Amino acid sequence: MNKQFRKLSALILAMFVVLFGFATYLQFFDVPALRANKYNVRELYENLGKPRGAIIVGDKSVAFSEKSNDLYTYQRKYSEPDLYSTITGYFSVVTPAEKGIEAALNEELNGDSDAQWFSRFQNLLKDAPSGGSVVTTIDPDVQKAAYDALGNRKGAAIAIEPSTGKILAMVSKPTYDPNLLATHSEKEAAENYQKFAQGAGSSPLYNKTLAGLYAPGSIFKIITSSAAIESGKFNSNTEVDAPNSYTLPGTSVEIYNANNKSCSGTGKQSLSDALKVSCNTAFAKIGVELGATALINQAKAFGFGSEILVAGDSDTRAPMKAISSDLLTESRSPDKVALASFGQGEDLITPLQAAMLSAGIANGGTVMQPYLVDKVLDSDANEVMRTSPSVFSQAVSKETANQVRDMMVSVSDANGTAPSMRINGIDVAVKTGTAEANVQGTLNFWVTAFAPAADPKIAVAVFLEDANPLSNPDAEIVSVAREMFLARLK
Amino acid sequence: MTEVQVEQAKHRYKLPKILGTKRKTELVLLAVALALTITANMLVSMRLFREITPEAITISLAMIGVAALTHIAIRLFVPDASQVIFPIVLLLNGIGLAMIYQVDSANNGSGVNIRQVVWTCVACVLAICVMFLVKNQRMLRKYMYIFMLIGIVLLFLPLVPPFGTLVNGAQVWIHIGPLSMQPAEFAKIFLAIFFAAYLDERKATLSLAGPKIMMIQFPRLRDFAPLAIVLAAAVGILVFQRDLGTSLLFFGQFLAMLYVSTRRFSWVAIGLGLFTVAVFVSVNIFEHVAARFQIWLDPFNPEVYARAFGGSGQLLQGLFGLSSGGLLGVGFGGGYPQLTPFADSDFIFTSLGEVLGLQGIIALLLLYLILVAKGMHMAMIAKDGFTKLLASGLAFSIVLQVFVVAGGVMRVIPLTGLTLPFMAKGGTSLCANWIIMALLLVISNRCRSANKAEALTKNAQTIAQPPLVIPRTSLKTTHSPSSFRTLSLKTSHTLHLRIPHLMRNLEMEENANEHLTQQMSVRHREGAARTPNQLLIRVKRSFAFSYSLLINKLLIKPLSLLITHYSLLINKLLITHYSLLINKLLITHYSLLIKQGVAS
Repeated sequence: MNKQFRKLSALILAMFVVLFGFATYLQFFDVPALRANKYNVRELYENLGKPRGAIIVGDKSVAFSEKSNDLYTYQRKYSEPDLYSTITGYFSVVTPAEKGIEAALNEELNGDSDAQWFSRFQNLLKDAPSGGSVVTTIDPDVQKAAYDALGNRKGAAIAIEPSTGKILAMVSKPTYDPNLLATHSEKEAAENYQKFAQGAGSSPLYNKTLAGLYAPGSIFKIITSSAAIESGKFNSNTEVDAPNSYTLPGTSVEIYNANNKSCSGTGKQSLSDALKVSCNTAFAKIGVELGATALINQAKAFGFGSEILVAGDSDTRAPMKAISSDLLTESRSPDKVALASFGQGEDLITPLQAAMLSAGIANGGTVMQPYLVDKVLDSDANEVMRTSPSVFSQAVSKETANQVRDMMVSVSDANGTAPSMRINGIDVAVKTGTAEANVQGTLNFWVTAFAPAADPKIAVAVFLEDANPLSNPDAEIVSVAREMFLARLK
Repeated sequence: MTEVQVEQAKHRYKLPKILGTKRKTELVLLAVALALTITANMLVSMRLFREITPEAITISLAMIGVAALTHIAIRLFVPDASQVIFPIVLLLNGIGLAMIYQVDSANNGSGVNIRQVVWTCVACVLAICVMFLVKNQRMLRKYMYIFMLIGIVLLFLPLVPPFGTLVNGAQVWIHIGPLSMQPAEFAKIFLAIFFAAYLDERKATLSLAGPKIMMIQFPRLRDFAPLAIVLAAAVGILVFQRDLGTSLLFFGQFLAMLYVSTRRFSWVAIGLGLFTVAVFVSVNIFEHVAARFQIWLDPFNPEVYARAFGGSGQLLQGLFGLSSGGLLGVGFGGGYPQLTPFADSDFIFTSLGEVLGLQGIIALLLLYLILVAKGMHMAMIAKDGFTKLLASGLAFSIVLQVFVVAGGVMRVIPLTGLTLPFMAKGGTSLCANWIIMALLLVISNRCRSANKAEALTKNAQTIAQPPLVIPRTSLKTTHSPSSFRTLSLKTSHTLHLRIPHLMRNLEMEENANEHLTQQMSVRHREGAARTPNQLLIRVKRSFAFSYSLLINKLLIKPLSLLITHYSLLINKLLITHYSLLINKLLITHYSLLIKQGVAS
């Protein structure tokens, strides 16, 4: 019988080899795929089981992990939850992080990123391996000023340092308390999430500065002005037609200026004055003269049509990025071009993009890539990654930028649209805008501005959503921008 | 050597030496197994509770007790049995206990681990009883028909209404009062004994040649009855008890033994063919079987995953567990094995994979492989057909169980309700497998004591007959056709470097056996040469010889290599765990010290 035993032994060995093979496949080759599987909750548990790095603003940790005596070992805490919720996002036991820096820099906070291999190695020798910390570019004073000035209004505010692209403030109202999502009570966390997630675009989880697309209104006139001067046919002093009404080419639709006012007594004014009083008819005519292509190209040079990454890597699960602002995507007929030229019709813009208009002009036409993460530190506070400023695009020539800058400064003159923007001794470049809102009887308001005009330190965009025109939103929105400037320039 | 001396040698060998040096290897291996077990349990307790818990101490003390008790019983009742079998069982059991302890603690502890420790003690006592009662495995064949009856009753008991209940879609449990058990676990032992006795009796008839169809020699049609009955029983289990695992286990065990006893591969082909057809048909007819297959084939399908009862979630969680273990594992007390449902019973394999990693899984599988190889070795050296069949049947049942369980959770085959021998939570399974261990020890004791005595006699005779003596030095390098011999030699050679004086004893035994086989084969060859001019027979013989050489080269060599590596792996496991434990201990103590320092 020993012959049969040998064959049986061969079969037994074969069976074990099959098991070895499958074990090797599952525990070595298939590991990345299995780890990435959406049903795999182990990664979440692992992440919750070790101290996650902090998110640092200025010199304070606004999100950090604390030891907890339960299954998850560590509790995520947010020290100034509402003030920074737009930036931090949340880290929850019920749903993987998908908002803010918590999501975009998940690997770095966990200590899993490629750059942290050495600290990972060192962590092997420690009791509790911990993740790296993320230092943001946020200026806590500007952030606080924007947060307080916006108050209970719906809207957004964002500030950029023009020369580098550092994001100095990012507020989207309403805000939420991420601590309520980070709670280890799965039931509470799920309930709170349900509550926060309601209402899509009006949900506090919705970051309006990056994800919100709104009609830009008159702030688009910065782009039309830039395109006009870049074309060589105009400069800031060029006399342009500024009629009281204008019939859109090819249609019988007549457009008027805001509140049916006339832009100038003569029906003509300089390009600079047209921007100063925000003359719709004048810009509609300029836009038609320039043509769709010139307008679109100018808008793209400022960043329209591309997603703008502000934190994380586009390979990560949920990088922080602004969706692309749109212009004339459906039709390029002259009537639509005329509408688009003063920010109506098909134009849509994100608050980040609105801030980049000012930042680009402020930086001599060079738009810097906006970014939110200054550096990543490992658990021993050694720097493992630092973002260096980079050029996003050359939107206009320096000469054009200077002309547009001067035009924008004139807007804060006594007879401009934003005289209250002025700060003693400092020239402020600004453009306001108003556009139709989703809610009947309300309007969306915009301001994009930078200061000081001579040596810009801060560029902002403020957006008020569904504001009641009777509650004097023009003044309110300008005061938000002004507070942010004062906080930065003090 | 004179006749008297030979007699003396024989006599000396048969004397049980309770405190002698004969089972030192077992002691050393037991110490290693206990060290690993205790370390694993302490790690769980340290990492989950930050202290040494009473449970961890209870488990450790109980395992030391079990090891001591069984070791003494082995010295008393089966002194010549293989020294490797029990330490392997103890190690598997101990690692299983640590795993159960971890999963149970993570699920807020319901004392499952302590119940399992009690079961281990019960199983140990049962095994000792078997060693005591069954002096000679051959006595078992007297009761073959009684065993058959008991086996069948046990197998189908769960279907009888007052006892049986449906648990997790399979009806394999019975409940008597507060106790619940899986009688199939015991049925497999009784049926293995019955199959061995029956097949040994009938092998002559069963291997008679029947019609030849397409190059395959089929058995006679009238001999199909036993196969048909077992097949029907297996399909009955599959359909009524809804348990593919048990069904596969019985049928596989029977087929293997049928093949071994009759030498007819056609039996296996027919059996497998019919079983495949039966499975295929039941997949198409019965929804619960079909569901299991769907989970196997398409677990990532959201529809299959989300199925309210019996979705693929469990299987996937198991796979995720394995993947998070990776190559080295997260160590005992780490990871999240409790996320997988039944992480301490049906899915203990994936829990172990998460904790020990690929290296640990391979080491565990190799432990099973060594256990099984010992069983097959016994089957080879046994003298009578019944013992050969019983040893191989029991060994193969372990293989099948490991394959079906590990294969099930790793998606090699559909998931079944079998348990991992010696490791999974569950008293019945533990007791049944310890009894199998006891039977293997009894068989091993018989075979080896018989062989040793014979070898000594032969050895004495060869000294008297110089021409047949093979020089001792050449022994180690000679390739013996007897397969597991080379392997044991290799292993002992490797271990030799580590614990020389302990292994010398073992090597002497092996050498004695080596001598015996060498002589036998030499004689055999001489006999063949003397057979007058039957060319065909010579050609056949040379084929057989080259075949065995091939098997030796292709199979046994790699196997022996694997086993050599296993010892290295075990070594590594030990070191990893110890260093982790020491690290943990040191860090905990230091951090406590620092905290106290800061506080004061």
